[in-house]
Amino acid sequence: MNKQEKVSAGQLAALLLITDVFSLFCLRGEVSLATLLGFSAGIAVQAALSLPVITAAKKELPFGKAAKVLILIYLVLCGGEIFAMLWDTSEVIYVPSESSGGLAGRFMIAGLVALVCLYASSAGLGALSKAAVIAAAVGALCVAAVTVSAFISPEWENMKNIENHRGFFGELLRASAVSGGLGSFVYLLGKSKGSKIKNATVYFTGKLITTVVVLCVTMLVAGGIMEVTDFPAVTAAQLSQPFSVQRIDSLFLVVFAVFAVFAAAVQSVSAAEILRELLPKFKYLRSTAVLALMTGAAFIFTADGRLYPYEAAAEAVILLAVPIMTLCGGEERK
Amino acid sequence: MKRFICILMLAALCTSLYGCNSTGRVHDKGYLRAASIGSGSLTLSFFSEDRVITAKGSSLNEALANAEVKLGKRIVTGYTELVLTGDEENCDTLCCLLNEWKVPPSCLIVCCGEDGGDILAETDTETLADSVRCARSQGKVPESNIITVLTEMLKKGSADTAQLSSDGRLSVGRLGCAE
Repeated sequence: MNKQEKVSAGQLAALLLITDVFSLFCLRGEVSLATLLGFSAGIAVQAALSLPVITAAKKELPFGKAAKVLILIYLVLCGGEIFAMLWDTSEVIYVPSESSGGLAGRFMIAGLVALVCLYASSAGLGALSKAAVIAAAVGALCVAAVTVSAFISPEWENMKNIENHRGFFGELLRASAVSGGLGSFVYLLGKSKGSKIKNATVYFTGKLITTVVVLCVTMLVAGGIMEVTDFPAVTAAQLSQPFSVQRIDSLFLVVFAVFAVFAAAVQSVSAAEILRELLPKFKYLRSTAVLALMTGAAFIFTADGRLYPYEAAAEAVILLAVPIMTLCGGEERK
Repeated sequence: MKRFICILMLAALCTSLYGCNSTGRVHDKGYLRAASIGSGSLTLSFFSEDRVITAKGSSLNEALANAEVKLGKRIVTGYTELVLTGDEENCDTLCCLLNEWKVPPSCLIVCCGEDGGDILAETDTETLADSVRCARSQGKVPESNIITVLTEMLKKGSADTAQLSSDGRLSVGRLGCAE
């Protein structure tokens, strides 16, 4: 990426929200009012923990080597988690093609996503951020269609009758664990144009609104059958029928695939850029190397949520340690 | 590098695009319109076929696979309008229909004892589905789409739905959820 290349507030929000919404699409297990409260509180905590990041970005202090290594590791892990989520969720994504069935179909989906992701990553942050705005708009259209469909005949009872086994704090932990956009947020906020506070506010407000909308729609549409649904957000999208003869599966399929590409590409572009700064002599195949590392990292993540506490701890470290290290040593480097 | 990835992507797209794929022809598939699920047997009616297919199997999916062999085509279940079920049906069957068959949320679940296969073979499927919708609009039968029925079953252990007798009369029936 060109050193002078910067992203606008809208582009930054689009890049990061796509990752967060993709994580919401891939949510496994029940979604209830406790989830809604836990995720909303989680976003508030993330916003509060981001204050040092905003301060460091506002002062335009460069990251030190150690901070860059930390962000790089976190981004690789986030990318790995996105690949793991894609792999798990592709099991229930309905591709109406004979070749899509079974393991071969899942490999085909994952392989094509990785290939397009490699292309998007090699194009750099500038091209990716411009395209992200269009992708986010298409995604917003899909979410709006599902939302309208859900609110035409809302089943409010569904929302209060869902059992939750995790509880509020469990959901708070899950919210932190599946918030894959924060590593990129730490890195990209400094590369955004204009007021950093405004940019961060736009992102966190957008994140809160989209999270509340997606979770409410999921509960309204799939709430009644939550206990027999593995991926409630996907089920909600699949069950939505905005018109009596028209299902929205195909639009959701496109949005899911595009969001998967962008979610992974945002992590890989940021990681490749940090890799370039850390190892200037490593000129070629940076994106490929980063994507290969992410693919390897995907094997760490399991679907049962055993790693949620560690992921939440890693998020807190990245939000606090990186800006503190930057604020302490940044002035000298500047 | 970019050019290489572009060529690779184009090649992948060319081989996977639906229109270019010989396995993607519409007439090579049987689009399921209605199904009757009895104990160990499955009777299927299609949008594009005049005949109904009956197949047996130890599970719903095995019976469907056997029906595909009989029909000589892959069966697409995503547009199913109506499912006639026997009295013994439970949540597992409806979960399988929803999660594996991917039937649309508007798919009607109607209970009809063990006569479902005969009813499906003798009556026009479109007329059957329309009759249930008409009876619903007149308030004679409860909402019978799969989501409403499954939600009720999961909540209360049983659910009211439309019931069809062998003489074509519609009334209120009840589906249980076997534990």
